[in-house]
Amino acid sequence: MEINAKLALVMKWALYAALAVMTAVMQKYVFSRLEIFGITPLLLGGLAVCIGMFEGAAAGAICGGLLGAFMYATNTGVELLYALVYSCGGFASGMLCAQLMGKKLAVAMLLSLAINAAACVLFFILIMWLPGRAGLFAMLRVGLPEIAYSTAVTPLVYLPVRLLAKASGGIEE
Amino acid sequence: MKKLLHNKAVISLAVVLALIIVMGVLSFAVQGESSPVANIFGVLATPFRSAADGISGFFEEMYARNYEFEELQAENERLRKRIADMEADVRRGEQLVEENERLRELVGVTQARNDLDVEMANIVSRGSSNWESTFTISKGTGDGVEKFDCVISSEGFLVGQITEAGENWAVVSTVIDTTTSVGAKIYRTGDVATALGDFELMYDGKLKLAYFPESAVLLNGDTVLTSGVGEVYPAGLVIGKISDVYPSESGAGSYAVIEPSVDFESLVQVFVVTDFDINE
Repeated sequence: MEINAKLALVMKWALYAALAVMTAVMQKYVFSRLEIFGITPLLLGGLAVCIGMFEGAAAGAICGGLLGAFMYATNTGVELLYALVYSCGGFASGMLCAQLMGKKLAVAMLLSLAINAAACVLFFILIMWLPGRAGLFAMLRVGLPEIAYSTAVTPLVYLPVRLLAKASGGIEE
Repeated sequence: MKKLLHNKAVISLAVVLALIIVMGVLSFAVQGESSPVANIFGVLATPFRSAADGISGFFEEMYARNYEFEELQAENERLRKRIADMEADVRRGEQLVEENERLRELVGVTQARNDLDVEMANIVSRGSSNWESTFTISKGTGDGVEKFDCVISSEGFLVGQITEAGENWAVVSTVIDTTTSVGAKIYRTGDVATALGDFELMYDGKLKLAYFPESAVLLNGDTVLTSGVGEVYPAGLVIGKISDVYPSESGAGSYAVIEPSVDFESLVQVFVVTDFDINE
């Protein structure tokens, strides 16, 4: 029984890892062709939020950090800053959902909006604005559409995470 | 005897025998040609022979199909594979022709510019950030590629600069990226200026030309080259052509827009300038 439980746990996280890879692939190769006003969305922030919501703050923090690092490792032009933001976002999502909020899609989208906005604003200030590479126009031209588009695609990661969590007994009907 | 002669059977036999004899005589008489009787039989039998041929052909075909189907299928498979191989060869050939053309162009550039040492690299991935214009290439520090090396196209047009280099990969920031700041020279007038990446223009695939002398008269279509100032970029590489000029009254805020000569979307291969002579 003990071995079965461990196997189930390994299986669950293997599926989460597969989901993360699929999401990263979708972000890089599918959504890069589905630009809106020249903007592509970020899906991994939403995934960190959803894992935090369904698997708890600790899992959210670890997975958020790993997802940010993974994005950093596989994409050019993405700073390690995302790993920090996603980790904090995953942790905060876990805490908030356990204490205050439910695990509905609307909550996931709200938290995804927050994490994407935090990542985007920090990136803009530290990487673009302070070194003088871009002004506030860039935030309007790229930042806001990126936040909106990334939030809008959150259901694509929320639903599989919910399904996985439900299958592994993480949520009740 | 009379009875015998009145017997119908005997009469019939006699008639038949007579006919046979007549036919025999006729056949003997017209040797080498078909006899009229044989001819008549032949004409009358033609439709039946055709039908019989058709039916036997049908059954022969059925037989062949049954027994040769597997063989035909195998042959079909072989031919399909051969076509696929030939198509792959054609594709490979086309790729080699394209690569050859690019290398020929580069040979022209390097012959004209023998001060450049270049390393050929393929573009392996495009940057996915909404904030930057970058791509990753297949060569890195292991091939002599270093940070700040300049990157050109096969035609010798300026593509960008290496901003990050790993063992077997490197990130190139294109000239339209906001990190770009290149010493530039207007070919027609010889005026020097600075080509700068600009976020607003980056989304249109263009960059800015600023800090040129107040006396400079820029025209649309003027070619902009690298000046070689700063010793990061070799002098004389084509950056692009001026597409718009925005003069200001004081002159200090005047700027022009450069449309790069290189088409970033269609780039598949680039050349990293690993070393170049500095012309004093």
